[in-house]
Amino acid sequence: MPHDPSCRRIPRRAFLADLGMGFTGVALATLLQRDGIVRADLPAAAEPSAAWSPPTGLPMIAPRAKRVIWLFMIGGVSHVESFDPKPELDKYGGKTIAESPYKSTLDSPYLKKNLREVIVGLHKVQPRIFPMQVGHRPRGQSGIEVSDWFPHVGDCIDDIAVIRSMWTTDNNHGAQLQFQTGRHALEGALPTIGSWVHYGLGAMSQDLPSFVVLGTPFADCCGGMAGHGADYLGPEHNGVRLNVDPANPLPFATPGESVFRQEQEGEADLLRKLNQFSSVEYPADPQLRARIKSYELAFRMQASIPEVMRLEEEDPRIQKLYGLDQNVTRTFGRQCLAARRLAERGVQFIQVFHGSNGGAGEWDAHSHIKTGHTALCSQTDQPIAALLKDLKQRGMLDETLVVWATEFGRTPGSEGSDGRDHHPFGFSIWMAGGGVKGGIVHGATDELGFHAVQNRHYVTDVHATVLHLLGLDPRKLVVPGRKRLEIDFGTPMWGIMA
Amino acid sequence: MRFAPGSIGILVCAMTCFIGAAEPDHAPPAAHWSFVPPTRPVIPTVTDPAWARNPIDAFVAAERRKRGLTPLPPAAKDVLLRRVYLDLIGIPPTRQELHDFLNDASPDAYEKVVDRLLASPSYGQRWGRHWMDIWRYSDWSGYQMEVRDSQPNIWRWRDWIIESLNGDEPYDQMAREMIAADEIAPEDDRALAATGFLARNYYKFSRNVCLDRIVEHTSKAFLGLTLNCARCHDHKYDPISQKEYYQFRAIFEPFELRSHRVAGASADPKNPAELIRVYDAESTRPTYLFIRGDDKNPDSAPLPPGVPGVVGGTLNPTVVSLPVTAWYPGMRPIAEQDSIAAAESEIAKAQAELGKAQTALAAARHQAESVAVAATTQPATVQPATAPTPQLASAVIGDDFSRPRPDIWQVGDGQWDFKNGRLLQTMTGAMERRLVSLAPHPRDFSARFTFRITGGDRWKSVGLSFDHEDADHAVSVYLSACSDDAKAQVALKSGSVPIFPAEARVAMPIELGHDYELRADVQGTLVNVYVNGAMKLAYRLPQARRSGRLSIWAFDASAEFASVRVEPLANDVKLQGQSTPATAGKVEPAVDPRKSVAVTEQAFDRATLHLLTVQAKRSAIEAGIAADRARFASPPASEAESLMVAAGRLQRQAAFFDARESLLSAEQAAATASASGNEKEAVEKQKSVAERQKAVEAARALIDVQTRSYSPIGKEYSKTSTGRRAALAGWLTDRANPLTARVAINHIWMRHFGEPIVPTVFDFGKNGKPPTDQPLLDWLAVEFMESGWRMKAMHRLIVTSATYRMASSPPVDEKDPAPAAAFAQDEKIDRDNRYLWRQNTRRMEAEAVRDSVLLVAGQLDLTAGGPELDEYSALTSPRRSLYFRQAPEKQVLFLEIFDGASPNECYRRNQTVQPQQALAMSNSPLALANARLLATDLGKSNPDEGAFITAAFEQVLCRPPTEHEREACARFLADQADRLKQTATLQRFGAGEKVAVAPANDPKQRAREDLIHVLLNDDDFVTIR
Repeated sequence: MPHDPSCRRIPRRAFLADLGMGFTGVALATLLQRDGIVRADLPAAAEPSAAWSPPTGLPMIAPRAKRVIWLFMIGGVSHVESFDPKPELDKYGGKTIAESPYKSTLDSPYLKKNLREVIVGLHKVQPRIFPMQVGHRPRGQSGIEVSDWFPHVGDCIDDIAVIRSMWTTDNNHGAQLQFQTGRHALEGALPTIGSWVHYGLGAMSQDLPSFVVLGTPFADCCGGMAGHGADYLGPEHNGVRLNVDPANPLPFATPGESVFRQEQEGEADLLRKLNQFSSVEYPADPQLRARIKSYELAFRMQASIPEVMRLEEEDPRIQKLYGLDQNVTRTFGRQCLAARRLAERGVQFIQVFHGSNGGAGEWDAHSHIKTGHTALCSQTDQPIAALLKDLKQRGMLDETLVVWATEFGRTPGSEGSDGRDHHPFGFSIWMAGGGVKGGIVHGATDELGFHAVQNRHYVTDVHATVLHLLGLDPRKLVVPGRKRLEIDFGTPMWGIMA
Repeated sequence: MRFAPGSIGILVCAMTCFIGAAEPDHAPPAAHWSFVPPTRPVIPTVTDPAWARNPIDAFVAAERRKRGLTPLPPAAKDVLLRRVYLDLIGIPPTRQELHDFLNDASPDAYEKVVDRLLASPSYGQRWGRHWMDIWRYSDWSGYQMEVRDSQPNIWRWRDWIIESLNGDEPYDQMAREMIAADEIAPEDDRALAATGFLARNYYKFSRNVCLDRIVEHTSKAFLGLTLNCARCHDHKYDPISQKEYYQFRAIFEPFELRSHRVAGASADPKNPAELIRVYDAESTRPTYLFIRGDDKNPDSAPLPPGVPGVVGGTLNPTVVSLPVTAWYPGMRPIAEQDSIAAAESEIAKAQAELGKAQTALAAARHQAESVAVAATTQPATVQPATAPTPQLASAVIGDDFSRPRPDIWQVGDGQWDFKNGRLLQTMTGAMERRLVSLAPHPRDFSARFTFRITGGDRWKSVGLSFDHEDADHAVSVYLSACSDDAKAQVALKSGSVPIFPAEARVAMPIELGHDYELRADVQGTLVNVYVNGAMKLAYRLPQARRSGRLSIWAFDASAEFASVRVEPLANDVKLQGQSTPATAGKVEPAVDPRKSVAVTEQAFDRATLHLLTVQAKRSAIEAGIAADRARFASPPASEAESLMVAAGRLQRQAAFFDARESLLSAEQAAATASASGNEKEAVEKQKSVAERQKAVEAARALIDVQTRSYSPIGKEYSKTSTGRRAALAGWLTDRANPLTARVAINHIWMRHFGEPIVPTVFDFGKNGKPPTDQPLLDWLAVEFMESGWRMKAMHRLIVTSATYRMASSPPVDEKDPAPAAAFAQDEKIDRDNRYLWRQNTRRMEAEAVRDSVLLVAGQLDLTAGGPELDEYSALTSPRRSLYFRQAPEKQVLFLEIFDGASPNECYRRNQTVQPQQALAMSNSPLALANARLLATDLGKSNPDEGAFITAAFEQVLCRPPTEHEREACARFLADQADRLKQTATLQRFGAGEKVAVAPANDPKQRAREDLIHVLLNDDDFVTIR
């Protein structure tokens, strides 16, 4: 069912406006102004910044997508063994980079310039070239080379824009948070891409949170809950974690049989009134505003969320498509299927984590990359492909942007005998769906897969692309008193846009 | 557009705030503010003396003035009261406390409240939880019962924290005890519990991880230094070398964990009787720098312990000589008592087992006999069982004294000789010369002992004892040929003085040189004595039977033993003086009665022998304790040597019994195998019997070896400790340490204002953020140290300041727009309130939310201390929240939802707002049940609706309702009651968690319950304004 964002805006506004009915004064004005509701009625002097206006919740430019499914592989997926195969690695395997014809790789200015090492020398340039641990072949009409660890995603390659020229500044796992916020964990938490979308577009769904998190988020080492947080945008823009379990989709989803529905509705009415009085009393309390919204959402969620997670309602063929019938694919398959159901119901940003292990992440293949990546790919490949196919057959892929990403790639050289180290200089991600060309490769690394050399993109370019496709201008997403740097805004990847 | 190198330049430039400082080697280390010890700054002059109450206010006012900020007025009395209650004790005031405060017009009304709260035990529970965050409290966790993280009984550390805070123990003393109590107070169990701080870092799979955690978090918690960043390489920001990281680690390198018992009697490491504590195990264990942090790649030279030079001072460890109870915990009185108690408990168990075996055996025999009788009786003519006594098992103990039988007897002192097929004993004197059977006798038995008394000095007594445990525990039956007191007698010994009951004596002539057959039939407590076949005496023992062996003896008599034979007594034999047994009809039919008898006999024999074993063990433990005490006395006691010999002998004797038990099992297994006709198995089992026979013989041979060697009852540990941790604790809490007091006071400040002075609470280094007001921080730090590191004084200072008492929001008054305008102006200048022109509005921490729900309903159980409570019980148990289990993946869900502390690291709590929190407050059984309880309670004293609404607001939100609120609530009560009357249309929610308290039937009362429930969900409930 298509959603018209402009229609969906009304109830939220109506709710907030209701808060103010019958009340006047500076306090209320402040409240409403903060929420961007009566901005036009206020004199410019009341604005924190005359040039600034809060987002209206409406697209700023023509949107190409309505929602995002953000699949994040925790720990660092090897780009050369996923979407950027490098035959030269096989050719020169065992030799050092200096002994290969690509010695100049090590002289590249990128080596120092785009890198900030938290612990200098911890993750070295691994000098000894390590052959690819899996085969690869051209896939689809487009013939894009994909590793044999991704046979199912390879089936969908003609719907995918592969970006082979990502780089980031840090070579430790604080880069996980960095991929969500644009800044490394060392610099503290900042709003994540999901929270910017939430802030920019407001809620499309009345019954579900607009920013949902599935799977286990980052460990505390690497950003923790800040990985789906909103930081200074305010807690109402945080991602909401849900379990893919219909019996227990979220805790305390029902008050139980001792309570009548009408009774709770009566209570909710009174609570609304009392909080409305409090809003007038405490106009400058952002927590209060967030709490009011959280209650409204909570009452609706308690009805809608268990239904979303009833995956057994899906056609058995669909369940099988996502691999729900197989142990190895079931967990991630359920998350991908839940993501599609959430997307159908109007959730705008669905962040799905894979590979959380309480530390750096399961994809972090310092050793045994072959067995490790084989297992992790078999957990994710079929469910991800199923998601793309399923969205497509429902006509939803055109308006749903699917992003597959990881914090960095892995070194072309070997670490120990059978691993690869962290590699921030060049790595791959892909996007598919709403507003993105299919079957294309954008950007490139050098022959060894070391440096991104063509159409280089820092992680915030991904954010800029996502925001642009959703109809938001990243440069307009600012809050007075919170300076954003040039690098935080990023630049949309025009080359992949359909 | 792509990033040209120029854009990278922007990026790098923009990161200057954290990159620019990264030149530690060139900057003089003392330049960074936090590495210079704080000195007491001059208190700024106050321009508005009416505003400033204490020096804190002067510092804050000065910063504010610089920035043109106007402070908000003081908070309303009710707001302030609730704030200070939640701040200091973690629960809000009750309605009564609110009224008391509002009615107290004295100028120090507030100060009185503060003092009362600081004196309340709830203070320690509130602030204990804060420090548990910082010190990373975690209950143990693991896979099923396997301990992987932290340690069982770590809760003693939690209780130590709480008690120390309530006792206003100085912070420096607490730090010293947590790091080194085993060195500075090695005999103080209370202080030793503090080392849970280190024990908490236990990690089953890697000692390196454990030590890394200790280095990281000791440094973050006490020093505000990220020493962990120097594990793989020199610190990127602070002048801390990688070598210094490992030198810091070396301080902890020798430590290990052990637990000792502090109460109760259990050796179960997860039993709450155990105290987990640290000790230095190996003083010589080297510490190496791991190259690139890789533990597989240690540097060549070991490193001495040390502290980061940038902080100043040096580490000067002195080896600590420990008192004996510290290195030999077996000497601790509780350990001794527990060892004995444990042995006693084994004996009690063995006795119970034996009793059961006895009953089972009797039942099995009875069954077997009934079956036998039935088989020989015509089914049509069932008659009472008058069949002859069936053949019983042959004698369990029998000897005709034709030759020595060391396999049967343990021979005591005496002059023994075999002559003419008899055993002669010729040593007289007032002492039993005895043979004690190695095997136990059956519980019910018939013993026949044939002997002749040939002489003696006075008593000339010969007889037998049963239930013989040792010389002091037995029941004796004997004949005495004493010239003026010849008799048959039953005597009791349970202690060193024997009892000769008059009713257990029959005077009768006993001739010297005549053979007598003394027969004792014993069944339960009943004893029948026959002499030469004539019934002489029926006596009921006044005490419960004990198990034991048989002894035959001569007391002050020369005698000839002719034969002795002990047989089990058939169950249906009736002794004289016995009432009819009541158990006969209850026997369960067995499939194969004979087999069943054999099996139960075996069990009985094993139980009998086991009892002897555990009794021997108890004796060995007692002797071991005596030997330990004598040996470890200072100077060692003179009888130490003989006690050690005795202890060794008893221990070896206990070992012998163990060997015999093992042999018996083997023999029984062999017999079973043989009976079942499995020859191969029988041969195998027989081999085992032979081996164990050898072991028994070897054990027996060892018993009488004269040696001082014995096994001490506990483990001995190193008699010294390296003193490294004591030295660290001293260095850490030294007045000259620039960081410790600042870091601590910053934590305290943050928990009163919601925001710290140094925003990076665990990083005071160069990568951290600078203090918003360093003079204030330094003044507080110096004040803290100079007032003896007493935390209560600092709390008092802070919460009585004008700064603390400010309102957090401007008053809303349409007639007077000035405050709102000033507020708006301040917001423009300092939106984040860094310079404290108002109090911060905060959300309660998770524990305070849950505890407050219980408190307002009058349900909160303030019981302190004890083992962690099951995390699943938190929605129904009324205990305070900090007592529930908190470990990775084992936490109270309700608390997690409200941003409860991560057990792995939580220097500062999150304050999120999430719909899950709304669901927890509106749907949890906790909120529903307590709302219903409070409504009932308030309804009793406030039948009037208006009074009820006021009371509800005051009790739940600590303030009266506004007029708008009162109207809305009154309308709600009426509407909701109407709604609830429409029973035909009401729809219930689906199944959820069970609520222990049912809603009221009366719609009006139920509406009141709902009103309370709404107030619990009001923003004001979870908010501290």
